[in-house]
Amino acid sequence: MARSPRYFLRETFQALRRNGLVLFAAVSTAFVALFLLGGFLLVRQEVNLVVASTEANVEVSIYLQDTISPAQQQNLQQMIQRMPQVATVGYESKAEAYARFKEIFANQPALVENVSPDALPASFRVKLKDPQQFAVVSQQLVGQPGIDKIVDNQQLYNRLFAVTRIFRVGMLAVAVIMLISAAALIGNTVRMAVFARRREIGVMRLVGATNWTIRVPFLLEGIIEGMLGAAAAIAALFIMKAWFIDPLHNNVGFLPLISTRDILYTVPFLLVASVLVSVAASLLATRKFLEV
Amino acid sequence: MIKLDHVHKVYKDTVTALDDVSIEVTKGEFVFVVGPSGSGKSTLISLLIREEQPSSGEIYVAGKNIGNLPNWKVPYLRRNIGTIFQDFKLLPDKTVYDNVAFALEVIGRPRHVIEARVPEILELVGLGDKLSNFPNELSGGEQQRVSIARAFVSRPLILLADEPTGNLDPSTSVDIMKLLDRINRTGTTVLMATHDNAIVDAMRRRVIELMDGKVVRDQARGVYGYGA
Repeated sequence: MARSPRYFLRETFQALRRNGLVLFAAVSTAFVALFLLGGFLLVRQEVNLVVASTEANVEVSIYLQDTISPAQQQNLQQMIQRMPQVATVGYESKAEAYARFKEIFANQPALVENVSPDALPASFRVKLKDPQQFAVVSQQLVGQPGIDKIVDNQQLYNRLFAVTRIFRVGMLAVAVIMLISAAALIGNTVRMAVFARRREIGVMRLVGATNWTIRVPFLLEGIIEGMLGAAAAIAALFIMKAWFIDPLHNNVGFLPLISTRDILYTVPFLLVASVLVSVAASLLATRKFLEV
Repeated sequence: MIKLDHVHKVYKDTVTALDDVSIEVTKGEFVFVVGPSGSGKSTLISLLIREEQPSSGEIYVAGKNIGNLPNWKVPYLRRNIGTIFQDFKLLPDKTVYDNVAFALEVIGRPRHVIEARVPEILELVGLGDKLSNFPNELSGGEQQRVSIARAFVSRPLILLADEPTGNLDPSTSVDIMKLLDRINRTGTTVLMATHDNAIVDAMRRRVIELMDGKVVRDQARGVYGYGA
């Protein structure tokens, strides 16, 4: 049953050459669809990274008044440590806070210069066993002497996640719609190729070529179109990262950002999606012509 | 080799193309199927290569009931049947050689077989010197020879011909008939639908006459018209 690969390749590339513009439409739609799908995967990965880093980080910051006495401070630390909801407590002095501030904003020297080492408050940085327990902890601490402000970082992140969730769902929805249009356009180029070769198909059926022999060049055509789109999408994701994500490392150093590895991780997903979409489209497009 | 058993073929529930046709053709026979246009000749050929299915009745080709042949096996049935047509059905952008090679290529014959068989068969049909010509550079008779070469290159058991001389002048037709006769002498069963009375009368082979989808005559060594 082995057909010569030369036959399939020749037929496939002839078909690809024949309709340049339609081919371009199909490939570019596949590109946009797969780019969005890749974007969706990367945003999801970015959110995962941020979640992981916040979970490793402080969940509650308890800022202290500058006037707090060492005894009050010790008292307070013991009190927090005794709370059953608390996992760990760390103390950050004013000097440490300033050092961290300088590190985060290392790229904005003007900002750093305008803030005196004295301006940042000392704080207890508390990690909770269950981030949802913030209210309980906060209630017990309110009114204690020496406390300036209690901040729930989790809430801040929750808001961030709500925004990114909308972004993610929207991206996935658009990606799915684009994948469907890519399938329709790939199907269309395949149908045109089938039509252009209807005489050959007639002869092939007459002399007893199997349906798969007739179909393979069209399937390959669809797959190549899908893969071209996928390759362009992968390249575009890398370019996006180099142009827009990498510069962020300097500006928002405190956020973990997606790396090259994360893009490589999306590659198999995009390739599989492109092959599935183009095979489905090509099979649908050739089915009607190949009824015995 | 070919057997039709009470075959009916009705298109769209109203048009009767074949009406209770029972025919048996043995191996190596040469049979003319004659009758006016619309008498069911082409339908008969469509049924034999299972382009169509009978409305009722059984059809056997090479001992197999092709009515209950699964669709995926139909290509293998067709490899045993060569088919030629009035309009040749050649591929205009392929050379004579490639047109014939194509038929072997798409049924998966290895390259060395193709390279050996194609020139040989084209020599047999008298086109040994036109391998690299394109169909539009050939006369009608030459084009029909290419199509015969294509139909016969895989050595089928049966050759079906649907009006093969319909587009050709009388003297060219005679040459084509000589070629079909030669193929028949190799043991290939030939069934030819035609309304070319001169050819039928000259060959004096078995004649099956169809009229409105019915067999009205089945005669050994017959002529085109009634009587004999």
